[in-house]
Amino acid sequence: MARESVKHRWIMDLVRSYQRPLIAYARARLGDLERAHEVVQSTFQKLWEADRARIEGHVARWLYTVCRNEVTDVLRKEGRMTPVEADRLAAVPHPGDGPDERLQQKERLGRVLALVARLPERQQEVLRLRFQEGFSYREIAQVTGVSQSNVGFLLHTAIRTLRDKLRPVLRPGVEGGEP
Amino acid sequence: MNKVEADERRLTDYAMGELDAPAAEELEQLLQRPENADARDAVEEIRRVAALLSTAYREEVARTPDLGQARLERLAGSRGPAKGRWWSRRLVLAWSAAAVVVAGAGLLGYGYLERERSAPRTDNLAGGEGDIEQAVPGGMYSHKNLKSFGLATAADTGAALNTRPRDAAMNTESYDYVRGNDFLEVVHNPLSTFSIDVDSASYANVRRFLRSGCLPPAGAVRIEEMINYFDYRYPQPSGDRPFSVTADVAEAPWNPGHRLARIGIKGREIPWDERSPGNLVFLIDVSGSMESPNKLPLLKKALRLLLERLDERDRVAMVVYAGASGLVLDSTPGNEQGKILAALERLRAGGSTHGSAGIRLAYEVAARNLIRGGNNRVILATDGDFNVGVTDQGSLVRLIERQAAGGVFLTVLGFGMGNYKDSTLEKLADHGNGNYAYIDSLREARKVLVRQAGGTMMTIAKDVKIQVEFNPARVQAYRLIGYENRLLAAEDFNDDTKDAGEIGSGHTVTALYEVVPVGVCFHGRGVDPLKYQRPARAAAPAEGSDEIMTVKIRYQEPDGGTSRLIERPVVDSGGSLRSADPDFRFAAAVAAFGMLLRDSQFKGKATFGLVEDLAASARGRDPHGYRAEFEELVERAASLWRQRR
Repeated sequence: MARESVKHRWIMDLVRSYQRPLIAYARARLGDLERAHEVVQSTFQKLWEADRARIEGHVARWLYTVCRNEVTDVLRKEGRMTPVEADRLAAVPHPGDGPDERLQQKERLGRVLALVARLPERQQEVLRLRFQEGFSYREIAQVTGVSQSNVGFLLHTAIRTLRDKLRPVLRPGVEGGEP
Repeated sequence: MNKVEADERRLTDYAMGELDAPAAEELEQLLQRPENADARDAVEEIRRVAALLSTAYREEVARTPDLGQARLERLAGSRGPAKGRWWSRRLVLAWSAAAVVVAGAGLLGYGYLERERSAPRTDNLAGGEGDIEQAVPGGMYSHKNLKSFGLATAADTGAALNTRPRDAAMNTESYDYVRGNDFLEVVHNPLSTFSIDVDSASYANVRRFLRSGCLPPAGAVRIEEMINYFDYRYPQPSGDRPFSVTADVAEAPWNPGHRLARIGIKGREIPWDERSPGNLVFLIDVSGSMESPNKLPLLKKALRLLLERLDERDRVAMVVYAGASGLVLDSTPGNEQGKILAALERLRAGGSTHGSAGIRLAYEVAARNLIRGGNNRVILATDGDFNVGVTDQGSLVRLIERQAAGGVFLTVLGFGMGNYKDSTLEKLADHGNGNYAYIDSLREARKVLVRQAGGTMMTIAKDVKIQVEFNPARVQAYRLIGYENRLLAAEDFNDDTKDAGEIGSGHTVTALYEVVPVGVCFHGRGVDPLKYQRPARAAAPAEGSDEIMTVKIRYQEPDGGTSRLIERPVVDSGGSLRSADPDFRFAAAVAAFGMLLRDSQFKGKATFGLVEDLAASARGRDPHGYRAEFEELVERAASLWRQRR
């Protein structure tokens, strides 16, 4: 009983800290919220069977890896490996829509996400693991199965594209939208 | 071949903190050359993109709908029918309590949200969209943070590199805005709930300001930390309780019509030799900003004091971080002093700070060497100036919070000045089941790491929360002095999943309430009289009771489990200040000093003279001269204050 209680608490803590980031991650790949919820629920379910001592110290990596496998399974079962982005794209404003005036912070962030949504899928995933979760190259490699140096390459390429597109809003002291 | 192109990959790797130390150093050298100005700008641009991305994802995560009750129930129930049902009830209860908290905060405008540590990120059930304040992880976006949301954060992050000014040239210390607690009327708010705080960093930092001839910024003055810097003679706990509770009441020195209620907690003293084995991982900042004599050299001397007291029961590892992070001493038995001290001596400052990778590595090492039932602890020594990589406060705090769930505690030791990031460090300790001390001298190092090593290193109870219920028949209004960023919602008190402060061996914690008794003229902030509620005078059942309040304290054993409850009613026997315990007077003096430094609207009749008199009347036995030093600081502050006018 006591042991169960400790494990329950542990799982509950993890659910609390990780459910939203994992759902956001799964949703980006699956394209809809309902299935993202399913996948994340079964990810946490697996914690009951897991050996806590072996996960401790890299819980985040473990959760993302399991979640990623679940997502892949779903996509495979449905016979498609290309995610539908409609749900997510609808949620963020398109870049370049607004007039050439000072952007509100919210729009600016929306623009960043919209730009990210146009990147190749693998770059998107690496960006999210890095900046949503703060994973190192090595951890991203472990989660995705991509080599560490390839992670660096994907990240560099993605950031270079974003730098080019975002330059007008990045330069200190310069206000305004895209040229 | 010294030209670095602006789109080279190593710039990204560098900005991400992924270059190893030699490569990072080489690149830093190159970037200083005039022909590489573009590359330097590129690094800054990358950091800005990184900061924008972090913020954008964080916002998106905060807006993401969570699993919802039905799924949570299924998840909790998946363990098997009998237990499952019980779990699911508990889980759902906890979650609905959380929902109520947020809804309450939103509707009633109590202002939980503008304070740190309000609602954790999962609690955003009140509305689908959720505004930024509510949605941010850890709820830690107070005014200052909110203002710097986004590009301002990017600018902070980008300000690093080698262009960092010397300490004297520019002051980039950062403090959070703290709004003093207001009086609350008992009719509307019978319960006051907060987490204990054993940190004492604020006092040492205030002392540093005063000694250097400046009044501290108001945000640097956290009154509870100033009060808790000093030892008070509360009794040792009896039985197997981890701490004793003392409560008494006397006149409020700055407002004689008001009463001052004191709650004192004393943690059981465990002799150093009877401590549980330690698995200590030192995480040491060796970035360029640590170079000055009051940082790394002091840090080495300070840590040496602690390291020398370890023995074969303990294990010690050292992780450093700068441009790159690395393990400089793998977990080593505590009696191999030569090896450990040699590793300490070898530390050199250089490179810019990449805290998050170092923190992750340190927790990994701690987890690998976890001692069940032992003191598993990461000890972070830094000036808090995290600059490189994805190191916005939010994700760092989140990282620490998660690691803390694995049973590893955190001690944060702050060093240095000029670019000292007090607000970051306090949050890290706060979210990491930890404590936080500021070390400005070897003397302070001795206090924290030798005399009070037990308190710093041995946690005897965790998630310690205090809830006070006031009796409306005796008290009109009350004000909690300090603990502004430790306030909890009333419902959090019985919710064991809500994190709160830890108590170490021998620690004393003191909380003061300024209480307005019934019958004294008091004008609140002007809520209309309630039409349907019974007025304070008519609170029948409490009428006959002499009790002004009941103090309830909840805590958990250091390794978790269900919380325990201690309850104690408090009667005001009408004591004067003169007849009060000298420790009571001293704590009151420190509180008044804090209010003066903050220029608080509640300081009443308090003056520096009053503080000096109170403190002088309460010096008592002062073996280490801390109280005498306090009097000296009051004098300094008084003279600085006069000059200001």
